[in-house]
Amino acid sequence: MIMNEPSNNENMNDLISQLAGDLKPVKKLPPVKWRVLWFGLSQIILIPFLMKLYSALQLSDFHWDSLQHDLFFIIQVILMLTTLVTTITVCLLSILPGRYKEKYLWIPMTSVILLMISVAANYFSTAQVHMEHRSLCMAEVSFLGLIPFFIMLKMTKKGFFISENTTLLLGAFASALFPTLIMHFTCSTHPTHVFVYHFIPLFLFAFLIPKIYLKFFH
Amino acid sequence: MKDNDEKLKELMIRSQQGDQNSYREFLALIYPIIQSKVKRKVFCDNDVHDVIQEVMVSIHQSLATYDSAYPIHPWLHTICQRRVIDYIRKTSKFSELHDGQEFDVTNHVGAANIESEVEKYELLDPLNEETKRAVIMTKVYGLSTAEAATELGIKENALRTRLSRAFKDIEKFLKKDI
Repeated sequence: MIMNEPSNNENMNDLISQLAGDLKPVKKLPPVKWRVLWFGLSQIILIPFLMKLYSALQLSDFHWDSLQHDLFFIIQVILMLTTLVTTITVCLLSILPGRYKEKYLWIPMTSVILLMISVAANYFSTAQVHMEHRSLCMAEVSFLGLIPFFIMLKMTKKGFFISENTTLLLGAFASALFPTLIMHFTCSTHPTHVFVYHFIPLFLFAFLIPKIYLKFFH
Repeated sequence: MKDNDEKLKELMIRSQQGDQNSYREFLALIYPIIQSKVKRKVFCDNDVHDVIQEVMVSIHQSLATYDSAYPIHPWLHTICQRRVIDYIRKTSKFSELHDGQEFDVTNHVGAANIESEVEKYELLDPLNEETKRAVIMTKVYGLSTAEAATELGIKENALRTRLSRAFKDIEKFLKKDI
């Protein structure tokens, strides 16, 4: 080992020179709150644009009236929005070394648990106003799910993965929730329909594709 | 420590703007910090240098993630911890794969040697004495699980279970700081 020390130091000097030689000005990542806002705004702008392209789904298809007389619906919308904001925030924090703490996970987890409880409670309730489900809802949600998935992928790729699974899970949750929220307003025959047929496929897609890529091709 | 933090911060800000000299100075200053962190947590002396290199490269790739509004040491520490955890995962997987093979053991494993090794690594703090011995025998002295089990007077399966639990405890211990 004593024999190795000088050569290790030489190697380290070479590495330092090489890294310093490769240095180019770097664009610092903007603060998390701005990135969360950017993610939200990009969805609000891009998804109606996509809906316009995909003529089957229109803004007039939104059942805004559910907000007036369905308490479970209102609670679920609030919880979905809360979960969306908290998962994105913690996901973006999880790629910043020195900023992320495991205890932060409790915030989105609490929101997710409350959301699941509200869906389960809704399942057993007879008060739900059932809407006809759209015949092509699976195709629609897949189409809408691509935008948040790619934006989330681009945002997380720039960071340092402190805990790969945590970042991927939160990212998948965040990118699957916005299209699910739209389908919650436009397609619902059953309290669990939106989560089983819209949220879960999108979530699995958004989690497994980057996971497989990182495992086998990275 | 605070002055050092301020100096590193200043150098980092200039490095992010593309100043190569500041970056060279920054890397030279953090090298001993990283070295001491890695040496306390990596068993094999030959691997220490490789892990330090991986940490340095990770720092280079993550320059954009540092925000000068926050202290720099937690940023460095997290990157360092992450690469050490990756190393531990990699080596524990490697040793699981090679458990069936015979090792050419040239190190002498004596009780006194083990005691001195145990004191060297703070990473072993969360483990009990028996588990520490099992880890030192297999990871520092390179004994096969069969040989270490014979030395400890336990069955090989029991040793494997003990090692598996030890790595989980070590990983939890490392993650505690993150």
